Amino acid sequence: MRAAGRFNVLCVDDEGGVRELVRRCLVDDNRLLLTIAASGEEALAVTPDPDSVDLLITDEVMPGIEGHELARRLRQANPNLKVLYLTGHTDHLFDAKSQMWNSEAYLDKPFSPEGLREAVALLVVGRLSL
Amino acid sequence: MFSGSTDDRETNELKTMTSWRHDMKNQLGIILGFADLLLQELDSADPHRADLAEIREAGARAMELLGDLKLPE
Repeated sequence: MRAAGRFNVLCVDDEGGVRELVRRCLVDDNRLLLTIAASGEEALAVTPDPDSVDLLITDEVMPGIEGHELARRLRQANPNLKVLYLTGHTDHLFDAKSQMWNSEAYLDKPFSPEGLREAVALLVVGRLSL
Repeated sequence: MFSGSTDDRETNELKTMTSWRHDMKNQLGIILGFADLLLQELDSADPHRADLAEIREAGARAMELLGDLKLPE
């Protein structure tokens, strides 16, 4: 159970620098409760209750479980999950996914700190800032 | 020993180049992202701002050069 006005964010990227960058961009906002994982497999392992996750921020191209597949698995338990794909491989994302859903967006790498914060805010509260 | 057709070899080389470019963009994105964060956080009079701006500018230029790189169709 999450506290009112707070959002559980699961961030997954196989690149340590990107994970740290996302953490640094979002950590100062105390409404966001961040969980960070280095792979899709680790993300599933640290998420015993997918229903508690409000937003998945994920790389698309990763060894093992790729971003769209991770999103699909988490959505089976949590249809309301919002997803933000961070990708330098937009072509690959759209090879794997023929359409984006209303609750999904992608941010092309490289992303700016402001761009990431705005995308997160748009997905979780529907406006540009939290 | 050589095996596979020229087409296979060219396809593999293209995949390698595409993957390399993706990895380079990832690393440059980390450099640019942290430079942006620090530029936001540093006081406007901080003596390190100019150095950091140089790092950011060089990173952005490297990203442009990467974008200019033409890969075979």
